[in-house]
Amino acid sequence: MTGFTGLTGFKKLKEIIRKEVKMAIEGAEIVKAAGYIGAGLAMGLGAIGPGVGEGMVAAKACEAIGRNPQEAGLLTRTMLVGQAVSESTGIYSLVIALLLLFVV
Amino acid sequence: MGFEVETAVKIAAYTGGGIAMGLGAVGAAIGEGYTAARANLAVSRNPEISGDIFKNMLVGQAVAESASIFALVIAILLLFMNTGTASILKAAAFLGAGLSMGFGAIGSGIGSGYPGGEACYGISQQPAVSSQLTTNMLIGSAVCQTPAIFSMVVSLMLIFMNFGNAPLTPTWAAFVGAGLSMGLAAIGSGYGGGLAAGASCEGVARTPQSVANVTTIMLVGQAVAQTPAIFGLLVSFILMFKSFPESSALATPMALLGAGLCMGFGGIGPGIGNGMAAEGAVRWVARNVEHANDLMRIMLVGQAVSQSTAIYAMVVSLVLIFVV
Repeated sequence: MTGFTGLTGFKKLKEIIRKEVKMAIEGAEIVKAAGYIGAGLAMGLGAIGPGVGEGMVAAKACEAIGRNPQEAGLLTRTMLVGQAVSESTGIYSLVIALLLLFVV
Repeated sequence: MGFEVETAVKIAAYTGGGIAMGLGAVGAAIGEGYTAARANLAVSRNPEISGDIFKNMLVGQAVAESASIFALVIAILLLFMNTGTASILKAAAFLGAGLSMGFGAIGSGIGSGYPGGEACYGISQQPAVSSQLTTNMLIGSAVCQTPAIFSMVVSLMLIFMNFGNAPLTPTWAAFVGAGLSMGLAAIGSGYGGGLAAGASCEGVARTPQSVANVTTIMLVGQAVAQTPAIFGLLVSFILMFKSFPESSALATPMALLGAGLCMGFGGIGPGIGNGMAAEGAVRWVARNVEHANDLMRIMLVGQAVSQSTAIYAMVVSLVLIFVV
């Protein structure tokens, strides 16, 4: 297919894509689509922080038990409480993601 | 300028190839740099052993290089392969392949640098155990490369599989999402596995008689650290192989793209965190071998909690694929 220049070429491309992609786009649809992308980003990005943070806590807890094994019970408990607090933002992200998926 | 479908496919192939090699070069370079830096410190500390240290550095850097070799292979395939019958769906698959391999090579490259560096430094501290250190380095970096291998598998599937007459929407989003899911999730697991392997080399150098315990806890810790990459692989396979009914709504492809983004990003943090926990446990098992069981227990508990957000991300991904 030669001989198309500039604007005609672009119009031809639009025609081809429209033939391949029949998407009926209306206002409500775009909102729903944006909601799904938002849910994905919310949970995805929101999982990064608690993952790294809780891992740091676990690493230091291992070091602490390595230094002082008799206090293993107390150290484990402290680690779990610390990790639970760090988890809270992850829970917020999960709540927002579920809201975006099912409620909004 | 004539625009045809073949042009769109070529555009996607070249973009994907560029992304694959561009991102894929990042991780290996950083990792090999870290190895060389530690090797320099090691030689300055103990110049008589410099021959051994230099050899070890080159071996360690070669393993870290392998992730970017995978990326180079994928990029060359995308640039020069004859694409057969062109369709916009193939364009989406090529883009997904580039994303998968590009992102996937980052973590493994950086991670494989740690065991190399620590092994070189350990040889300067304890030249007698240099062969054991090299062994530990190779075992650790090999496990660390597995996310990059998963990414390459997903890339090759996206490039070569014939998807028949799947409908264009929403399958294009499924392919791009599959690439994102595998590629991004591999970052965290690659890096985390490397942290654990580095600590094992340091531990063996410090306390050579603890090598069995150290290697055991390193392998267990690395195995848990690889699980976010496995979640990413799972979501990737579901997106590639599930047949989606044709849909003209905008919401359906965006849901699949969102699923890929969710599992992809969601694998980064827990992968790094699990790796940090394993690193702490391995480092301290070397210093306190009698309490290896306690340390293994707390490492597993800590890793389980750290894993939780990866599980939330997988749940949200699966909801986006199957429920909405």
